[in-house]
Amino acid sequence: MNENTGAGALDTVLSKGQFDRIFSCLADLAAKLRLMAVLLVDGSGRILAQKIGDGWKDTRLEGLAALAAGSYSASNEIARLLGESARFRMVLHEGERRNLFVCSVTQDFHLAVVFESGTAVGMIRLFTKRAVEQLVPVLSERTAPEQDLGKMFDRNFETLLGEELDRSLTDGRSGNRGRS
Amino acid sequence: MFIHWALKEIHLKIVYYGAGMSGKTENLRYIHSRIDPALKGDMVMLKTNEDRTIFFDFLQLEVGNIDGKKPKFNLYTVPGQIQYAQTRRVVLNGVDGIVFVADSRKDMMDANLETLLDLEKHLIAGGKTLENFPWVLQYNKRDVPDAESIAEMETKLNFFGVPSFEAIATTGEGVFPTLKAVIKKVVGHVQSQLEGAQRMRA
Ligand SMILES: Nc1nc2c(ncn2[C@@H]2O[C@H](COP(=O)(O)OP(=O)(O)OP(=O)(O)O)[C@@H](O)[C@H]2O)c(=O)[nH]1
Ligand SMILES: [Mg+2]
Repeated sequence: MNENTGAGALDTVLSKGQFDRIFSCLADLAAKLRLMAVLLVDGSGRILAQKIGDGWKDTRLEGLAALAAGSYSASNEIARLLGESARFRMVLHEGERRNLFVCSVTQDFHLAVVFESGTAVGMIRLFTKRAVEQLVPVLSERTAPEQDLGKMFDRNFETLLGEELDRSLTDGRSGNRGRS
Repeated sequence: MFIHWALKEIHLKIVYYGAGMSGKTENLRYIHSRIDPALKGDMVMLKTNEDRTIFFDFLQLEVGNIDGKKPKFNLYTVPGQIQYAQTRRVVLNGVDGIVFVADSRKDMMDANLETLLDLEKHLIAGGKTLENFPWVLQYNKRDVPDAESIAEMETKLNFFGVPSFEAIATTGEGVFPTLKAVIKKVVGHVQSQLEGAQRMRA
């Protein structure tokens, strides 16, 4: 994951082509291992792609992603404090029925896999390792972030966002004692 | 920031930073309690038995479609207590904008400043400073009897003249104006960077 506090404005941009390839890789992995869910998340827990298996009802996995990324970066800090020169290879949370496995893909991205306790951890490790090998080249492709950002953040966007924020982020108060 | 072209999503990470007990978690709690359920995810709180944040709080917000694009805001708080410095560093990873929550109680003024300097230390490690990074100030706990005056707090903390807001997070006063201001700051910052990059090419 990123060691610094973020490259700032020009960070990750994921193209449609990249997303399609990532998604099909996750879908293959989920089918092969009959996973409950598999997510590709970045260092701060944002979901790049997810594949949810049958039998999982919750479709909002942002909280899970934030926690998985958090526990993975916490474990890296622990590795550092223990004098490990590299990060831990993986983090495994074992439950009675469900397990969570997290491993890194590149410095900045990791895979979080939720699977049922019947599945052997060795299988998970083997197949996620293969998936990681497929994902690394896709994630290291550089898109032209500036142009893309220009398309996202035109002046129109700023105005419309301002209006939408006033509509959505409201609690009925009018008092705005700000000074700027 | 993270731009997801296939889904037309823009993810921005906003971190609430500030001394222990200044009211960071309370800000998120209030936002969570007032936002339309369709626009928010679950709130995650990692805390000790005494209700102090031990790792982070997390809440994702969306607003409606804007010009076909879907902005999403990932709100985090850091643990303010001194001993969690390493944890704060982890939570700051990938941050796009910061709300600095200052505690208005008179005897917290040193702690506020120490924490602001601690924040700058983390920013510098990432090649940024408080001058070139989008952030806003919130003077929280305006309801306490021994509140420091705003003029004094401005002098002590707001040396870069960022937007500042008075708040009482427990009742929600000032919470949404602060959040909106930091989002606008972040978007404005991206835009000025883009324009800067265009000028460089021209
Ligand atoms: N009077 C008053 N109390 C407040 C206000 N905001 C927060 N509090 C109280 O202050 C205490 C600490 O608030 P938190 O939001 O948990 O503080 P925090 O900044 O998250 O603290 P850490 O997690 O330890 O970093 C709680 O008891 C809150 O109810 C306020 O505006 N006025
Ligand atoms: Mg807290």
